[in-house]
Amino acid sequence: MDNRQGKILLKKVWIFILLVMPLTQPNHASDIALGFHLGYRQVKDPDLKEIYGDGFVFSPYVSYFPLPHYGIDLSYEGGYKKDAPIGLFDEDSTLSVSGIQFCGVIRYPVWKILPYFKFGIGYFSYKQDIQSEFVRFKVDHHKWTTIVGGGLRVELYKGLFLTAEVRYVPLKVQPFDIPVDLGGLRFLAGIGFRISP
Amino acid sequence: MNQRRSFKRFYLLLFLLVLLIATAAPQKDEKITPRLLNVIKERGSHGSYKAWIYFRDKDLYSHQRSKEPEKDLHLRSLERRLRHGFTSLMDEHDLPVHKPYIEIVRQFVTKVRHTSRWLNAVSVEAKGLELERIAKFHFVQKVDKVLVFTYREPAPKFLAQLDVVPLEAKAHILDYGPSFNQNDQLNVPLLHDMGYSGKGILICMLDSGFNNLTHQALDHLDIIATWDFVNGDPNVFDENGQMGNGNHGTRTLGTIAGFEPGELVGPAFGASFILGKTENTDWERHIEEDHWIAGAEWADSMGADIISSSLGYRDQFTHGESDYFWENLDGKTTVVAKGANIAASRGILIINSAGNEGLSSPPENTLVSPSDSPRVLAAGAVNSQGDRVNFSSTGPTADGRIKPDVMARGLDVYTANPDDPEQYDLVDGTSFSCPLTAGVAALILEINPSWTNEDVMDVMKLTASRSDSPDNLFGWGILDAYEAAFYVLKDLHAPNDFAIKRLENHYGFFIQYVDQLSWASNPKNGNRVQSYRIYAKKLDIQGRPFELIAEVDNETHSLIRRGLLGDETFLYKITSVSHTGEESDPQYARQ
Repeated sequence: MDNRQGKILLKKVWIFILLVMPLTQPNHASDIALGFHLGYRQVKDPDLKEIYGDGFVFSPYVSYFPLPHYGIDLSYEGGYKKDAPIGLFDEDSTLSVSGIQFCGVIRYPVWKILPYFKFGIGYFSYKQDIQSEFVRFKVDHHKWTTIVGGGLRVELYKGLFLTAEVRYVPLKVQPFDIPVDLGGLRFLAGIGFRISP
Repeated sequence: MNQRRSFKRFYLLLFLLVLLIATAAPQKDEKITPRLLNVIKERGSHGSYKAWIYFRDKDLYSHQRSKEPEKDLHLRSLERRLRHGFTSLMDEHDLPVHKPYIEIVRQFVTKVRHTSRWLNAVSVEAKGLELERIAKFHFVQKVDKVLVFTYREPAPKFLAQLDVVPLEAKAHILDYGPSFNQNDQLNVPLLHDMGYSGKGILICMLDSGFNNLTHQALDHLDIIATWDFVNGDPNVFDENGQMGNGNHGTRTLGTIAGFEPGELVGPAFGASFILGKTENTDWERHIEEDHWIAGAEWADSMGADIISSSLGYRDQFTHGESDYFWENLDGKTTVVAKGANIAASRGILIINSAGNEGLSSPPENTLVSPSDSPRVLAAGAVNSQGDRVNFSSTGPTADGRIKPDVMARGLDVYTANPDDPEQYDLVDGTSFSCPLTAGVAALILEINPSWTNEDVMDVMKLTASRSDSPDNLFGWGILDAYEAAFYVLKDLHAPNDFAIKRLENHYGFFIQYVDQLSWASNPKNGNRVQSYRIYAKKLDIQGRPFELIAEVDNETHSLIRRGLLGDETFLYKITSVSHTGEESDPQYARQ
């Protein structure tokens, strides 16, 4: 067996362990939770990053776990709306990016901490407004993308919990001539409440 | 006691003065340009270098200012300046370089090559150590490399493809033989029929030397003076043990002024000539810029009306480094462009070959300097059918002006053979478009002796074959000597240096473009200009008319057009408008 085959096998074993492990663990009550994330997002595209920079985002969500370790969550990400002068003539402009995300979640309790991993899809809209009579293009587009993330949930008291999550959203778009990477990591912290037993 | 104190004070003041001068004067390393410093570092201080020594001033001795310049200037030169309406016949550029400076420098160098009153500099051969010493003198402003270039030239070929002389050639007084087409293409024979031949016009040919001046087509020439700037003697033909090869100059001279009916007739066969050997073409075609400057100053002092310069400077090759790139060809950066601009400011009409470097992709260019100067008429090459020859260099200049200016035959040009007094050659290159163009200019000046060098340049462009739609391949097109000679010049002139820069305006997700137009007021208009009108013609569909896009006041010298897309390209034209509403001929620009 060569090195490459070995790596593939190792990868498969890890995926198997991740999927099977929650089933082998003691039962944990299923729940519905409502929560709110607040955090910081990066902008991967170097040109847009220089113009608009990274920014803050918020993300309200609802999660449902019909099985103890498997669930789904639906969230909205908004809040990234940045103003900056753009172009040779420093025209006023605003870039906003927001989206809806739907993810499958796997979680695995370790004492009072509930680590989780999520993978899903998102539908993002991005919009650039430039205050100039000379601009002949309007950026107001949408794109489907995938989402991957993971975090920790810490139970506090009577269903109240705190979360910390890192999420990556790739979002390569090309509304016109130039390909732009609006993707980037999100570093989020949040609070939530479990509303079912 | 008082005397001792005053001595102390004197020495203290002297010390402070010396300290002040020592600290105020730039250090030697700041005066030596980085490109020369790099070469000295690379090859060592004991190596020999060709360098320009630029001086700070030239006016320490007022008696020089008042008396000496006229000595150097021929009466013709002063007459030319009068014709060009100089209010003062002399200016700072005419003052000689301060002799004591030259003498001090001479003690440190191997050889003083040339002295340039225009640049207030001397070119020298010296060791690196010596240059470093010279740079320390307070009167030295800058020490720079004399640049050495290559100039590509297609090789002459056998006489196998002579033009068929058409029947209409018989309708003219002169029998042009195989040289008919190169003249007829420029409408020259009509002017010859009327008796014009460039008589009374003094043309300075700057070239690599001139052999075989006893050739049957050249022996009629009125050659007033000759000078070999490479070897420092009056002989412009090849000499044993001397540098240079004069065949190229014979061919350009034959092209402009050859006269042997039935064989060769040049457009300005009746003109007078001064011949300057300014190229050292011993091996390949290596040329040095200081010879050209010296030649142009000589042409000025001799009173030349026209300089025909079939050479150009582009690729620097000494030691492998490159000093000039296409970005430097903006008409004001290279030493030869600076020299050409000063020459033009003295009323000399300078025609230069555009270069044989082929096609470029704008905004890059393949021009050679000084053809990049707005004060120099750059001649590109066409074949007998009027198609551009693929080696002919293209514009625009780095500052966005259209080049070449005009076109003339540059493929299979019939001219005198440099070896045999009865033989002829077919030659290729913009080197030969240049003397054909200069010959036409001589005819125009002969017919219109009151016209300035700029007037002649303007009419040559305004009457050329593509004058209503110039571009960076053909310029204003193929010359029409007859139309130009009898063109009715307007009193009002278009502004100078009309140029365009296309800038990218990056919006993150897309790019739009900005056309930045600029121009300079034309001093010939005085204060008669009330406004400038700028027109644009979109180049997507042929035959689309010009539209007026702006009219700006006479204080405005730039215009910005925003919001353009990549495939939207325009030909722009600008005119001056007088207080009475009169509009000048246009000047054009396109990216």
